[in-house]
Amino acid sequence: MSKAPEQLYRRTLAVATILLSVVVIVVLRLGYWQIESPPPVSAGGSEQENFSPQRGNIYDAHGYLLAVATTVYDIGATPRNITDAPLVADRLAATLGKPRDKLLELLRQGGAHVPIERGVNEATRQSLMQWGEGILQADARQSRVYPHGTLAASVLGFVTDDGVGHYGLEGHYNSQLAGQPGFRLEDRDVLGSLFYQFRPARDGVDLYLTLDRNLQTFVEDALGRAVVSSGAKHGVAIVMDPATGAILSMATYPGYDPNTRDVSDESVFLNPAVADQYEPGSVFKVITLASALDAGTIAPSSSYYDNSQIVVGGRVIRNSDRQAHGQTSMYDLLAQSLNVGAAHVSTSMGANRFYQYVRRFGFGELTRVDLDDEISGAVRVPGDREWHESDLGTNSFGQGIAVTPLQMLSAISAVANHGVLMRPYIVARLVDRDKVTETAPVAVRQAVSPEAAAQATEMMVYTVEHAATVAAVRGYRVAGKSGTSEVPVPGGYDPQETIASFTGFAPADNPRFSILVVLDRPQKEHWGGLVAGPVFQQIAQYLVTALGVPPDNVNGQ
Amino acid sequence: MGSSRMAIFRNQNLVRPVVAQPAIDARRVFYALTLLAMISLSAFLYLTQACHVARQVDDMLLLEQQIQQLKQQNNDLLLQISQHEKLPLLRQQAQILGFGPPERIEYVEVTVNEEGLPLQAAAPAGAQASVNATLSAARPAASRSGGLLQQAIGQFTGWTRLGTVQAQKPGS
Repeated sequence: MSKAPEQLYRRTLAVATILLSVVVIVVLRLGYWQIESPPPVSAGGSEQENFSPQRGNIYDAHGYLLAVATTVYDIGATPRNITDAPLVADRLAATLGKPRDKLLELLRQGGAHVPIERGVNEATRQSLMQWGEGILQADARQSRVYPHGTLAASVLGFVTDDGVGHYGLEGHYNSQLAGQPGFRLEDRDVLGSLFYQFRPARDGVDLYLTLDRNLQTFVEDALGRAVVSSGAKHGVAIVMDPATGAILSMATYPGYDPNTRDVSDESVFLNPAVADQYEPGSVFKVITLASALDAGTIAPSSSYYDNSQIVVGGRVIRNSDRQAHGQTSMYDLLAQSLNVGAAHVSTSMGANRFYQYVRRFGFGELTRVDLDDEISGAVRVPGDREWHESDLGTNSFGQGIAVTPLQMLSAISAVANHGVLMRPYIVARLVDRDKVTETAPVAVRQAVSPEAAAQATEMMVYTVEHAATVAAVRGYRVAGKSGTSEVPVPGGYDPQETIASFTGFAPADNPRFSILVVLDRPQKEHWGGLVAGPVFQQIAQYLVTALGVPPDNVNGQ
Repeated sequence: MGSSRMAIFRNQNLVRPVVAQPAIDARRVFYALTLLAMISLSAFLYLTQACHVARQVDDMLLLEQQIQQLKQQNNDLLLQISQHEKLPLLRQQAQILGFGPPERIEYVEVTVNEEGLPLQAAAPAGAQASVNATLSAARPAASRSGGLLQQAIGQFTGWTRLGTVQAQKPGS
């Protein structure tokens, strides 16, 4: 009876001591983990771990892939481990499609590492590693692949190995395409307890363009053929929906392959449609006439007397054919592309009003298209130190004024679009996982009245029907105008070189597309109507079929 | 006398331990055990939670890696698809199937009602256009629901006939 409580007391004390020891051990161990070393479950043990986002893809208007982020492998070899170099060279040549002799030469160099091929895909890597374990190395890296090679390269731009986009869309949308990197950061609170900050990587947005892959292919082919056959230095062709400003195609020649970027002259990376300026020549007469019609200084029924020359600001302006055309209507002024008539119209408007319209059509300012490296062109206006009174005459027919091809087409599209100048754009929508941001067409301003635009359109139709018949499309009323401008050189203009262009839209009564073709310094033929006109016609013919545009004798409504 | 004192002393010794020990120790032991249990529970909970958080972070890392791998595989598949969608390849395949550039395109005027259903068709010259016009004109005769049913039956009939023709003229 006397021993029982004492025994209970002792046993309880023992259990309590054991429990307390366990608690002390646990607490000490926790403290050790949190203070002295990282927790045993922590992977890596580094303070911060970064996660790379995946760059967004680029698709055309119909969802065809134009640019994709992927993992590629740089293949290298260890020559000192190779015992049978000819056999390895044979196998590499068969898999990579490279010259055997060149590979053999590389493998016989000796040493620890020689680069064999950059940027091979997963299937090729697996194929190589099946037999090349120990003698070949495959280093993975993120890369950008453009499955269609040179197609739309000047529009797309490219991504360098450091993951930064340059030129075109890759440059303009670099921050959105690149996404945001994620991280896992180990940190401690005030009591020294471990906690984690975790942010997953946010992948870049996908871009869906207004560009049509099939049309782009056709336009690039047609432009390339024209540049080669005419001996031109380079060429640009743009197709736009005049009602919205959506760019359906933007082709440049020569191009480059953004996958390899193997070029001798890096200026080819710049997109001349937005980054290059030229004097548009007689194409600009459409703008002069539309402006004068809107200002009321001429009417469609107006005429003037053409005596082969006119003096503006002390400078003699002549027609390109050096002929006097007598009493000439505004329709014939445009159809025969008479410089004297254009200068007559601009001087009758007066400098202030003329340049006001030039601005309203968007010349001398950025179109704000979503492409990198756009320039604003060069327009001298009264008040500028460089402006001369004679500019009023020469600017009326597109000389002494520098514009980008996209500015020129936007202005012509304004004529097609009831006088409303639209902002050109090439990205139709941005897709960020579930969030889709559609690009809404933006009307910049009413450049001229719908009536003036319609009258100018009729003059352009008259031009195609009576002069530039090479651009006509059977069954459709096509509005168009050719341009042949001289090329400025220091001290004047080069008498041997021209820039040949053609622009227009169809169907004239309900335009579905507008086109501009520019060929720089064609050698075999110099006139815009003869060199660029056929390219315009080919593209227009393709478009009425591809877009399902009914002929004018079929009621499209 | 001496024996009685001894007896009293013994009685006193017998009483003292029984009265003092049990009441105090039981309470203390209970409190100590409760305290220890609470501390142990807290330590256990803390340890469990810390392990749980660490494991979650590890799981998230694994999931993140899996997502990246899946995205990469998805992009690789997209790339493969685009290789098969290349225009020269499609052109070649289309030629093998007997397709070619359109030689003659004719447009048919179809008047539609407010719901976009065709009301009447006027065909220009051309056999193909006439067939299209006849097909288009047949649709508005029935009611809307009946029209849809007729359209479905018509499509099925056309499909079966097409199949018959193909079967009769293999390779044509």
